[in-house]
Amino acid sequence: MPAWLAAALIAARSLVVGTPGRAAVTGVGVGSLLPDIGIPFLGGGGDRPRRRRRRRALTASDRADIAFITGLLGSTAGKNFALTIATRT
Amino acid sequence: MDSEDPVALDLEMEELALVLQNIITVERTVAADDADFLAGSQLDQPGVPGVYTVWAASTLGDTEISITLGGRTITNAAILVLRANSEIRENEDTFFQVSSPTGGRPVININIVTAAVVRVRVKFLPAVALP
Repeated sequence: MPAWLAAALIAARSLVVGTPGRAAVTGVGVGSLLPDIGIPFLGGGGDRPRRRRRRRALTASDRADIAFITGLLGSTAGKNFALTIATRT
Repeated sequence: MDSEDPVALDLEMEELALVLQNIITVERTVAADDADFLAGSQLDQPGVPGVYTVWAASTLGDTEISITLGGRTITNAAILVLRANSEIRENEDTFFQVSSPTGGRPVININIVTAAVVRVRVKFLPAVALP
């Protein structure tokens, strides 16, 4: 196989191979490269990797409150306060 | 096919034949400066991602070629291969290769410094041709 053809095939493959793994790593998949065809919400052009939001036990505001109470009233009071807001519904 | 060929490892002969059938070739000779070789050709508006391979040869040794794609300079004022009748030897000559992920095409500028006949060959491999 000529060098130019081998190089072209490798380069072309990197353009079109839109495996989920590659899309997850690079953020680029077939849908991002090809023109949108069809109805977008049916999958045309949208294979971006999903982002998961990490579920946090405490919000930033809660942590600030705990720090405030701990600093004001001491570590024991801070622990109690943290337990209180961690178990709230 | 050579089993050590990295491309051949997962590309059967039949698949390779189908890929080769999808290659589009544009070739012509020019005798005057050409700011956009592909303008008006079959590859003027391909509209699909792919890989462009460019060869060029000149009957004189001072012809220059510049290639840009989407604001990216592939080569700037490179000297073309000097050969009688501007013959191109694909497997022997230096080639320029650029991939277009969005469907745009390269702009090939030929600057003929001293009067010469220049042959330019462009082969486009559409990425969608790959299995």
